[in-house]
Amino acid sequence: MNPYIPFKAKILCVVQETTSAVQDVKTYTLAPESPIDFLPGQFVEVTIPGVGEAPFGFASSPHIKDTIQLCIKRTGSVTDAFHRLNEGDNIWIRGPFGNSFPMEKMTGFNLFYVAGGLGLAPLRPLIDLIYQPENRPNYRKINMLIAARSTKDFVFRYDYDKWASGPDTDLKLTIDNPEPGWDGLVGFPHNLIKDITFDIENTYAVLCGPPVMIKALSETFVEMGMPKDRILTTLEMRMTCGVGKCGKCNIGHKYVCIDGPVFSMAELDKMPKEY
Amino acid sequence: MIDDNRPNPDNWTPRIVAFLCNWCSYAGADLAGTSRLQYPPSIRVIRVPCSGRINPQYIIKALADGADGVMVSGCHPGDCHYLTGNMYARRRFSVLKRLLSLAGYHPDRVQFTWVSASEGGRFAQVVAEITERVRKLGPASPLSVPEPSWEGAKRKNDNRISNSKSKNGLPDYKEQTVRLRELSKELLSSGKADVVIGFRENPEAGSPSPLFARTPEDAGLLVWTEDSWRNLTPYLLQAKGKAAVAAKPCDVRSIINLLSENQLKREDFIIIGMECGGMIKDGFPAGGCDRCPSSIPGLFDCVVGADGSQAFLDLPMQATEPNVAEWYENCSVEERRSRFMREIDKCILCYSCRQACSGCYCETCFVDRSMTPWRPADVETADKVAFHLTRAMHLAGRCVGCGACENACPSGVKLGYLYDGLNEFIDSMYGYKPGVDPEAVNAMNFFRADDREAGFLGGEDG
Amino acid sequence: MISIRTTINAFLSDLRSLMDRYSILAPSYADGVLDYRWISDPGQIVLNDELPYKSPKEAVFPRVEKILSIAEDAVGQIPDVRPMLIIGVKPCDITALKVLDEVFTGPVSRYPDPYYKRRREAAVIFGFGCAEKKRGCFCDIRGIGMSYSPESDAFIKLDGENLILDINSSGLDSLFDAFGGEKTEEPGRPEPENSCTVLEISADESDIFDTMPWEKYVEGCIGCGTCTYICPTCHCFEFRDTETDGVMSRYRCWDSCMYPKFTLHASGHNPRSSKKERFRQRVMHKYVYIPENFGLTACTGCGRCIRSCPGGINIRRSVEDINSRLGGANTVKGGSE
Repeated sequence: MNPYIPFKAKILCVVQETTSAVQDVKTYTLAPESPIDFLPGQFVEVTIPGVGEAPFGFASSPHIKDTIQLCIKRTGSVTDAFHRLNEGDNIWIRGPFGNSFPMEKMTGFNLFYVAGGLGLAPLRPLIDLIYQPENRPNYRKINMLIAARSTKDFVFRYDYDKWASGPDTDLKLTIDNPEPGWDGLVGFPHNLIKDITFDIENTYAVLCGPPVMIKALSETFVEMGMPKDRILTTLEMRMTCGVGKCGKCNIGHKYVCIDGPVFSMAELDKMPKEY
Repeated sequence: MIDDNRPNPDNWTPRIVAFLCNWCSYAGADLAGTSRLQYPPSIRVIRVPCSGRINPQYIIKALADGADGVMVSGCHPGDCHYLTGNMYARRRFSVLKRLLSLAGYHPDRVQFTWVSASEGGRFAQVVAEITERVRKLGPASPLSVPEPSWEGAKRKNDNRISNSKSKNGLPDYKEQTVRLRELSKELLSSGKADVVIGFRENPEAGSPSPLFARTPEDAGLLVWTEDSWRNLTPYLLQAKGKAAVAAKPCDVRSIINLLSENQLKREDFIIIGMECGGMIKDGFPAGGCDRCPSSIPGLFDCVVGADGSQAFLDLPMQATEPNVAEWYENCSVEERRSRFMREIDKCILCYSCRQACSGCYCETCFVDRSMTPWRPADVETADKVAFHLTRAMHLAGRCVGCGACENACPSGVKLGYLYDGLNEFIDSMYGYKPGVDPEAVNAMNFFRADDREAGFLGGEDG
Repeated sequence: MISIRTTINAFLSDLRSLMDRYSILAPSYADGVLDYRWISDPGQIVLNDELPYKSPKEAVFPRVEKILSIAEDAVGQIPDVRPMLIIGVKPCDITALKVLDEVFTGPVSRYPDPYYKRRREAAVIFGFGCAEKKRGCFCDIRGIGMSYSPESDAFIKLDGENLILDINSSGLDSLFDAFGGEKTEEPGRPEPENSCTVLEISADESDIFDTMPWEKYVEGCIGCGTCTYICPTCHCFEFRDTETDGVMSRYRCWDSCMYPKFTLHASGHNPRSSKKERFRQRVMHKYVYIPENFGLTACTGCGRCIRSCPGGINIRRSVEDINSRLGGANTVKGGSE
């Protein structure tokens, strides 16, 4: 098997996620040539022919077989070229690569998802898969705190009502500064979690967002008594090969493309702080 | 890439990229159109606000990507819509034209001209003339793209006469070492300097390596030898605290250039002026040495003379490298092209030359800004050509001929002649030499109303 | 093990007749520099005590290699590789190939690299030893015997006008039958004795990462990347995509962890923005991370980086300094200056 050969995926649908002036995020629904067998937390390398290749985490649940979704923020040359594609265009994909959220270890626990901005995208496969009727009974209470810079920066807004009305779920939204007409929370997640009631000893926290947010949040969780091996996050790094050979994404001896991108705080503690 | 399917070499239309300034030349082109004046359909127009806005990189890229010709037109000097844009452009284009000629592009492929908004007829005539000249030259010869090949490092060993080595036993490196150590110990122990940047012996490396002496004990490790050819100026740019640097005349020219560009403040560092008759690298004169005019540094705070004394001796120098202008006058376009492409072929685009150059201090180099992802090795000759020509333009009138680029190159690429050639041109046109006066304004950042135009259509060398 | 005793001239003549089936990469001079080159005639081969300027890694891991092309639908495959003989490979470079083998195709590496595999399988390594170390060499303290390497497919020994070829690998009869000379059965040659303490780092990465004076080690670095270019074990790479006439080609090309923008993200964040961090990565990748992941240290003591660095960086002295700060567990004895 040649891990460097991609396969085709056709763009079926493009949804503009953010309306903010600061970031331009779109979600693409794609139909790969053949269904991809993947797990939440994994990623693919996307090729825009003639431009380049970049890694993106799956943003849709694996229980949806024929299509996948990728959430793309326009940042550099590849994402810029991606944003200029439309329905019917093709991209090329390699993968799935990486490890996944340890769903088996998480069974029987409560779950606390905290997502900052675009960080919601890699968590979405996990969220949706766990909500599936065959999986949901294996997990207990679900708390969700979705944070964004402003009301214009939320992604996957259309899922919030569905999630909020899921079994035994408490979903809260927060923005950085008050806005007229906003009746959700205001403030940073690491301050707000202190006011949310949850069973600290029997919960897995799954965090994804800006590094600053992850650092502050995990410190707060630890202060509150959560064991570090139950605080999970997913990292991103510059990647080229995606298979642990090109030497770009290593943090210490661990490669984010093979030993990650999902890591627990306990693992991260032992790794050098170079990310 | 401009694709190249021209079936009939006798009956082809050249593809010429035309940069026209919005206010004069583009309007002039419009006037030619509305006046129903005929001219060949060879130009592809790119409208820019002002001829001064045109980055030489655009022209270089157009040529490297296969354009048969490039034309640039702006307002007449004195009539610029933005007052002075075309005055800077005038110098820039003269220099660029010389650079492209040095690199073996036929001068008729790149033309600069001034066309005003009322000169519709002139515009048509200019396009016709440029097209005819390009047509006579034939389609641009494609840059041959070499197969990625297994090439060892080819260090070309020139048979140039040594400029250095002892003349009557001078310089006396042992004495210079003694004096350098004394000076450095004094500077460090008195607190006048936080670090002395010099050389230490490195038998494993085979030539002296940089030393950052921070204590008088460290200073005892400093050496000065006949192979102390490295230019230590880049370390001065990164130094924290007050640095003293052991600098040869070429190094000092780089420092003066950086001072003139406000990259260094004179009071922030100390120059230990090392008298130098030329250095040896691997048994041959080090890059830059055989065209060095003087053994005495142009600026200094302390003196280490050729005999280790506190006075410079002013050694007789024999600059033996024929000057570039002479070579340029006496060889054909094909020979120039062949020399340039031979060097380019050796290049592996590792950017060591850029890293070693004290004039290349941009936080983010233009190659790192380009839209395509950054990468070190490349298959396309066009990218190598674009890099080296653009770097040459960026160094025009700024390169001090220290040879650091040629010395750092693992493949033995020697493109110093381009920078030397441009410096000679700039000196003859505008009377400016880099690395001489820290207060001077670089010729490329300046203009005079009566600047000559070299290489412009219909003018001198046009 | 079969040992063939022939003359140098006969050996070269046999190679000449093999050249219709094999390409030959061997040390040869050009412009006064000895380097591994594809030779057009075996007479160009130089077997002496000098170490070629670069390593032979380019034969199995080319500087630029096309790995993929995408047209409307088609996706390109691995090109055919002509079988090659790499003659005169020094023990340090042979060991380096072992490191690359582990990283690209070994049992620990996930997703074996088919391009490397194809080239490596097409290569037959003829080793050749050194009599003396060159300045900067430290293969002995890296545990490599400079006179012989059993990892080679065949090993060359010179004896006046004679040449002795010891065949280590089996299954290459069709090749070695082409060599004339006296063939005898010999007991296998042992690996040379090594009385030095091997230079390596046995500590945990967290003991070294923040505690060592990396700024001091790396002070002269100008970020030119020459060290990684000529290193026989360095293998970091980058993809570069181009498009011509609607066909996209992807090339894999060498990259260098010592370049300032090596880890630059599209967002502008750069985890290794200073040269201290990059040098630390280089040393720890070779002496800590690869040993942790693959079980071998990725530095063979060939000394090329030490000889070529414009800034005087010395990986051997840095590792020795690290070890002495860690508490002398790996202080070198017996290794020479």
